Amino acid sequence: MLSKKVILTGSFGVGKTSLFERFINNKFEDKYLTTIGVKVGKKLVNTDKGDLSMMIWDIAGEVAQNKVPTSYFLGTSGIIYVFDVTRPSTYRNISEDLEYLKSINKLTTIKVVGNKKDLVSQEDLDKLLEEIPLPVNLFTSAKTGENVEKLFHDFAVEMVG
Amino acid sequence: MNSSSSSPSPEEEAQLLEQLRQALLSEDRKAVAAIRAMLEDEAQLSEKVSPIIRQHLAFIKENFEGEYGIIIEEIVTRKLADSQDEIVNMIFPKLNTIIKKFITAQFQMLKEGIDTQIKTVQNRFSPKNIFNRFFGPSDSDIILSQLDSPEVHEIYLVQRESGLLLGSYAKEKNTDQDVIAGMLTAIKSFAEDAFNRGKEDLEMIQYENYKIFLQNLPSYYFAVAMTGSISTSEKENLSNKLITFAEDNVPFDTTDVNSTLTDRISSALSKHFDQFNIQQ
Repeated sequence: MLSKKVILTGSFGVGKTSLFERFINNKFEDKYLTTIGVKVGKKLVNTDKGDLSMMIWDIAGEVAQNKVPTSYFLGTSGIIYVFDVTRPSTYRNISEDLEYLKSINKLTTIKVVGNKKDLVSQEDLDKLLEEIPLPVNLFTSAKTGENVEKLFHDFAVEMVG
Repeated sequence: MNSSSSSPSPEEEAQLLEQLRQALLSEDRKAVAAIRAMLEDEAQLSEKVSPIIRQHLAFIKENFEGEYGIIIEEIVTRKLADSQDEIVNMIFPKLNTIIKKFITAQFQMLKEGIDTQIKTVQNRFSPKNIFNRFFGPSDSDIILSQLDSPEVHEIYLVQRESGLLLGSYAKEKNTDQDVIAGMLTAIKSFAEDAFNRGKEDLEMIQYENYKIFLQNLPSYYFAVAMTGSISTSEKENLSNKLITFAEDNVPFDTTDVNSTLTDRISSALSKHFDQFNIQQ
């Protein structure tokens, strides 16, 4: 069984820790507690191509990605860039952030995820897709659990394959 | 008889009232004047009041605990409970110094006691002792170091950048070692980034009685959790052992971390470190 490191990053308050908790422990807390430093968790993901031990690093949110210690991104096989669909400030710098992340680790796969899907309508999401200059891989809701399992499972399939 | 007496004028009425007051209040007025005179004369006042105050003070002295003890105790208890943090902050530095002094004194006494015992029991003229007397550590130092000897509890071999676990050894497995390896790497990365020390590595993490010794190598590092005091020579001994282990057991390319690799390294770690004694 392979082991891979995946990073959850993005601005503060976008729901990275909620996605982490929902995926690893199938829990959700409405209360907001800011992450200090980094939190590491593990989950075994079964795919048709084989099993994967996914080590997930939930990094404290920063307004810009160049504020995160560079070493956190080293040796990672995948980065999940999370933004909040209800707060434009969390996806305003998305191009610069992704450019920066690619410059640190050229080989890593980056997925862009819009979280808090439960708070907006499909029309709002369609409008948001027009505003964002880059493709969004998935919209999730850590609160309802929608697309959370799919997000990590799809990532695992790509990494195992 | 003339019954038609005329009513008094206001002046007459006031005069009559004053006469009445004089008749009725003269005694009281004298008493008030005497009290006022006494209050204004310090000596007289003291003569009257002092015995009463003395009597009350004596009473308070004698019955203080019974009369006020419970109330004061309640106030103090409440105050202490409300300001525990302040009290701890105030007391801790002093207490810390006292404890340190006490421990130092106890260690000194222990060392002296051991020295005395050794001197009486051992043959002081053996070649080994003669050599040690001049060139080696003192007997007390040897015995003290044995009392607090370092003991390895867990070893982690971790991929340097990703924090993925390459192998581990633990006397008692009770935690998720993959998560520990990840967290150790995060702490290490944070410390190295925060202090911006270029290529310098974090080498030791210490908490209470536990130490985590970090042996850094180009693409991975060892984290050794241990208790006890470790001297420079013991650290060197451990370091050499870890490097030799890596040369013999860790493949050159560890890019792909999988369970076959981690099982093989973990098994080798158990074989090499189960009976390992840092002091030898």
